Amino acid sequence: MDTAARVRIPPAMALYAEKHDIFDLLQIMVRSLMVDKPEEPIQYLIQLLRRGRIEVPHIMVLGPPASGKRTIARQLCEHTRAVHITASAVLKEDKARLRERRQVSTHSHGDTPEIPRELWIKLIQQRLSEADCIRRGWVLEGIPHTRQEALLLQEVGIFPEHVVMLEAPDEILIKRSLAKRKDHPSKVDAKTEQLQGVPSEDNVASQLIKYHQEAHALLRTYKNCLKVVKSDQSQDEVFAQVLSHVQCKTWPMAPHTPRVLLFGPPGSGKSLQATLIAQKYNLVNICCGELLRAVSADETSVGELIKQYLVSGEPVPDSMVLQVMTERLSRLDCTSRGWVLHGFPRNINQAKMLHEANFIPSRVFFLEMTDEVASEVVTLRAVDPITGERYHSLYKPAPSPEIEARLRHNPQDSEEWLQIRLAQYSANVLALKDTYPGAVCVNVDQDPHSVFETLESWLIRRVATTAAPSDVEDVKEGES
Amino acid sequence: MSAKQEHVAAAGSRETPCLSNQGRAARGGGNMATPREREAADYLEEHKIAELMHNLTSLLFFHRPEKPIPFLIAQLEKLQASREGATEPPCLFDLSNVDAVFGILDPTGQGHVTLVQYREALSTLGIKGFDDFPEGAAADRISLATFKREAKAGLLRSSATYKAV
Repeated sequence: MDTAARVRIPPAMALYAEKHDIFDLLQIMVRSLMVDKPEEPIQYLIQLLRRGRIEVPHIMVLGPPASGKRTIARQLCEHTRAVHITASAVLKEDKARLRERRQVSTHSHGDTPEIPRELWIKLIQQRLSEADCIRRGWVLEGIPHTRQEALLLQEVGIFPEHVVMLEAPDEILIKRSLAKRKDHPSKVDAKTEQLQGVPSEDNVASQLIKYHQEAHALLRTYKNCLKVVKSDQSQDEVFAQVLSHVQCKTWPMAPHTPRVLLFGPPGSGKSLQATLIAQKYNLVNICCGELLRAVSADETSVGELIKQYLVSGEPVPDSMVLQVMTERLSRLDCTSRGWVLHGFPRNINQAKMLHEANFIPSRVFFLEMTDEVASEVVTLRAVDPITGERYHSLYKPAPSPEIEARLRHNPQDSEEWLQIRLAQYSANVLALKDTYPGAVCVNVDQDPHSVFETLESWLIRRVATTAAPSDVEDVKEGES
Repeated sequence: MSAKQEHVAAAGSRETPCLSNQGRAARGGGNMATPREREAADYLEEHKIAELMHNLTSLLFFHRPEKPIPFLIAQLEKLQASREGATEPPCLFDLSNVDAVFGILDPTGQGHVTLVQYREALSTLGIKGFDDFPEGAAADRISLATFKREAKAGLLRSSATYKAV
């Protein structure tokens, strides 16, 4: 049984894995097992899966005093139905429960309780392991305060999926703290003449200093999932930014096989962009024309047939192209690394066949340029046959007259051929755009590296898999 | 039929590299692994978590249910039941597959295969730790009965991904 040769993973499996986020599911299962290490893993897993919502929010909202953590945390909880946990809430519940074992200091200044760190972590852990937190997820406000607390939390298995750190200039924070004081005249504590829970001016300054010392370390600890949000903007803007960060899933470790389709008229830079993308992300670059020519050079029956078509200049029939294409795309390098495809499909029939063969692209781009620009780009370009360098009369003229003399023009780049190709392209492009509703249109009338950056930004973004497909969007340079 | 195993194994192993790496790192690290890491590696091995995940993934990819979570729950419950001795654990391959494999190796219907074929076939089915020199090895004729017996025992072992009761 020859198992080493030609292992082909049917694309159906990879698509299924992507569609149902199988990797994330497995990762969560294994992670929970490792953290809790139950004696009966099978039973534990059954319970975990039965809970329904596997991915619950685990968010930490950090920031200096008076930066608006409470408001943000409350809004987040409303939005995600998670449980809101604050330092004082944990203490209050604990006080109610452990009246005998009161190890909590009653002279607490501001929000930081003076209890031993290990006990504090234990309290948090207890609170977070209660049923409602497990089921709905949690939003921790102002916890942890220091890097040591963060590390201790991690040791007991509490780590956030997202961390939001609010930031504002110190003057604003001091102003806000004092404003809080003025707003709560009824909370004056007779014993200490200090507003209950609201610190005095010196206190604010010293708290801020302490906070800044810790903030830097906390930034480092959570840098993978952290986002700093300026809280000296309008409330809605702050919340919008926080929400968008919290909703984007952290970049998964799942095997990532991007499958990119590039469409565009001749001269739009498809080959160039495809090369750049393939190089940077280690994808397989497939140009339909090149593939056909390579196959026709082989002495196979399919190759011979294709050669005849190429020689006569007629378009190769769809079924043959599809056959060659499916063979190439099912090879192991394509399935494991992903691919960038350009020059195919050329019409809606080919697109349908590609879809039926189960090769679904994960990103589709339409490169757009006006016909005049296309004409300019294509008709004036030439190749130096000796060095292989490509030149262009306007954008990249040949450096010396000898090179200029030996430049050769591709006969397909002539004006008549170009018009034919452009006509073919525009006849099909609208139908193709309909077939791929999630496609992104990019204007390529700019330098190639800006185009590449735009394409990259769309490649990297995780598209919502369960949301309805978005309409075709126009992305111009400068906007994102 | 061999295609089933290849595809599923290849796709499954892509998804669970982290487990094997973790185990290898903690065990092979010796002084490098912290006590927590060693604990973790021991736990994984004791409860056969890596094999469990591998089997679950294979089943998922082969059956591709519309609702993966209820499917996984069902498989886990079957596994739990088999642990208590009630039924057989869920497995991707059943006895008819074993027969089919034997049939491929022995197309003329002689009733036996060579030792090399026997070893290759059992490893393709993903069975580890089978008897290298079963009955008939000396004569290089492994009978269908021996083949089936070893295959069945091996499949049972690889699907029973739980700590021995």
